[in-house]
Amino acid sequence: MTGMQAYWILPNRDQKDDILASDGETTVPLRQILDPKLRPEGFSHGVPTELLEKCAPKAFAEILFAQRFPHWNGDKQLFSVSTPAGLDSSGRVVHLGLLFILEPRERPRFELPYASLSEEDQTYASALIHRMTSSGRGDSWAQSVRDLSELRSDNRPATNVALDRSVVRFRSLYVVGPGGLTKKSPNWRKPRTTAIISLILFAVVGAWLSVRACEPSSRQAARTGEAAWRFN
Amino acid sequence: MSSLALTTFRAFLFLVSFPGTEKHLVRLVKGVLDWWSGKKIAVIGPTAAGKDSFLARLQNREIPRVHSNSPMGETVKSFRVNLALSHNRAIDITCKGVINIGGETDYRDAPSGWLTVCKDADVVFYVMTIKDLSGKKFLKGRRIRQDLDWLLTAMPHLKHGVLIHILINKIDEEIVSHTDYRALAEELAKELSALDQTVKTVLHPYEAGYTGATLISMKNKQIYTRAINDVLRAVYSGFHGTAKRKRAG
Repeated sequence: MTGMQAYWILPNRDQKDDILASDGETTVPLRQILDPKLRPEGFSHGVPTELLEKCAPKAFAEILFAQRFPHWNGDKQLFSVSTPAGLDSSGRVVHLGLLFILEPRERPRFELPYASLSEEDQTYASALIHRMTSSGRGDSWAQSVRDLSELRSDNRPATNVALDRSVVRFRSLYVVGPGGLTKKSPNWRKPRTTAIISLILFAVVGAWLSVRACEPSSRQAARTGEAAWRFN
Repeated sequence: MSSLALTTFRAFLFLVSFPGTEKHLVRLVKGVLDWWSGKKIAVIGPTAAGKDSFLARLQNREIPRVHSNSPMGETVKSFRVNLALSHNRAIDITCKGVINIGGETDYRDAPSGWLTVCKDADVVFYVMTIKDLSGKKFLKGRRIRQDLDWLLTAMPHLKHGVLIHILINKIDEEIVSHTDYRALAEELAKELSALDQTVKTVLHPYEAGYTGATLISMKNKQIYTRAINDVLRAVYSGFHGTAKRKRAG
């Protein structure tokens, strides 16, 4: 058991060929930590474009996108959180992320140092850590990340917020719309609704059959020798 | 411009300039139209080369105001490409199953990365920039060359007969007006020829699928419109050439 490993995924401000990562002290290409060949399908190093498109630019700073991949590379799990972190030299939105490699039942702890990051990155890193460690009510994005980290583990990869354009189908807890981030209705409601509808249908069909059984038959009695049979 | 694309463009101008070649021209345009219908495309290339902008242009959208460094593979809804060609003809391509993906090498080398994007494509567009060309990034060990090496290893896993076309983007940063388009092509003839040669050498034995390189600007609509017409014809001509060579072989 090695315990939690945590890294910053740094914004690609200079449009480099490699995505860089830092353990809080040393900066290395992300591929040295997370081999591209082992990277789970649908893994994102930042906030997906569709979420940015759904939110107004002034709300970008609020966005937190988290992913959880249970049973990654044997019995580890991958957990990541990212947030928009300014613009690159072409004016494109870039992202700062936190990547955790965890044991099966381990929860991420948001305590990675950021003093060695660039000044610009430090601002975003500090804000991210603050949001994830403070129990500030009203920060629904941070709450959605906490909910994802507390989610009962199953085999499916999950995200804090639903995506429509991802190449992978993720289990998700929240949806983002014009009104902001809202929690999805719990899953148990659907089966319960189905059960209620089935029961009503069953009762209606049962009642109809009982009524039919009590009605006198319109058919003639058939005489067969000594016995007379009436068919309903 | 690559020799193939330049030749196609010149041949086209030559055809247009002669009266009585209408029938031939219509046949050429019809061939392009028929061939492109229903083709699947993939767009790959280094980060910030203009893949997103190319997708926007194909969808007849302006380049998005909210522009992001693509952090993950995202599916793009099916869309139709409607391009006006000369002689009141239009080309209509349905793009299905398009995946937009990042350009960092991490995405290139991930199994769910570029390979997934290119797997079912009939035509793979590799987008690079004019700076990559003038900076000779196609030389050994440099980014474009690494991507070409990757492409060679990917070729056996791609659709049989897949065509590769290179788009050299951001030429608007080098020229003042769209009318300088051809002059720039002449000026960069040496680099373009070297790129052409490198691609053919690296992609051997799949070099027949390479249909050339075209200078383009996703940002400048006039240059884009002119260049994309060249691209469609160059890819079609490339396909025609490959088919002919196969028949002859």
